[in-house]
Formats: sequence, structure tokens, C-alpha cells
Amino acid sequence: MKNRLRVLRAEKDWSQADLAEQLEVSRQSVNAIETGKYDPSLPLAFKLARLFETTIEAIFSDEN
Amino acid sequence: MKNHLRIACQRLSPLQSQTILHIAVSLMLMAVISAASHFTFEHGCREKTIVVLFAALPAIPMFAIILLLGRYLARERDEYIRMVAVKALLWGAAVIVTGDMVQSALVAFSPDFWSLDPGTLTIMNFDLFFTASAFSVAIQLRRNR
Repeated sequence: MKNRLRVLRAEKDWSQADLAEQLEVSRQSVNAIETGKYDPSLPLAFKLARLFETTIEAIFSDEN
Repeated sequence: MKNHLRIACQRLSPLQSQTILHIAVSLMLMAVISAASHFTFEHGCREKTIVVLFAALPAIPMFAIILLLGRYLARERDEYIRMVAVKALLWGAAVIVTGDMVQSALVAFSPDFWSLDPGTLTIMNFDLFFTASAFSVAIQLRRNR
């Protein structure tokens, strides 16, 4: 799954650690999601969407 | 090396440090029980009650470790770290199963391998399990820096 997390984070000028703190997860989790190594669960995806004031579809998209 | 260990310890969450501490205590308890049973049987004590007691006692720390791991996985709020932990535990299990298979093969060639005390073997299995799991966590987190 592709995602725009790195772009959205850069727009807010947040570091991975800043985002991780707000999501209450580890920095490694944010990095794994950004690099596509890990797809988050629905609750975490909703949390991301709320944090960036957007929809899940605007952050994540199917690679196909 | 000492510095790396200190940094690694600082990065652990309270839940992780607590779990590691409790597992270490359980492993020490297992070692003490094993040493006590070895000492008792070495001195010729073969009373039925004592034998049953020493056969059952090592199960307590073993179950404690399994419960501690289950409790950690249930309480870990970071889903990625939980996934890393599950993968690491599976690697640990794979290593001890492989180790047991290798040991069985070695016993077929040389019965001397049975000279090891079963209690010592259990502790070695757990040590190997946690060492393999720790390596797996380190590798997974290193690949995702």
C-alpha cells in the first residue's frame, strides 16, 4: 500500500518522533508505515487521518 | 558496548522493562530449582514426595514466563512493536526446535549428549530462546531505522 505520510508530515514540519508522540506509538512504527514496510490497523489509520484532518483515502492508496 | 546497552535500556517502555525483569527473575528461579534438584538427587535423596516436587516445581517459572509473554503482547499498545515481538518469539521458537532436532541427531551418534541434566537443558533452551528472540528484535529494528 502506498501512502503520503512523509509528505503530510513534512507539510506540518513534524519529525518522525513528533508524529510518533502524537500517535502514542514508537518512532520505528512511523518509519515502518512511511516506508511501506508495515500497513497500520484501521484504528491507527483513523488516528492518522484525524491528526492530518483528512480522510484515510487521502493518506493511503492501493498500489494497484 | 556498555554505552549501547545503556541506550537500549533507556529506550525500553516501562512495560518492556518490567516484563524483562520478571522474565529474568523467573529464569533465575528456574536455575535455582534446577540446582536444588541436582544437589538433592546427587546426595541420594529419592523420596517419592521430593521427586514429584522437583518434577513439578520447574513448571511454575515456565508457566510464569509464558504468562508474562502473553501479558506483554496483550498490553503492548504499539501495534508495530507487537508485530516485531511476535516475529521475534517465533524466531526464538524456531531456533529451539531446530536446536532440539540437532541435539536428537547428535544423541543418535553419541549417547554422551544425554549426560546433560534435563533441568540444565530446559534453562539452556530458554536462554537460547530469548537470545534468538533478542537478535531477531535487534535485526528487525536495525532494518527499520
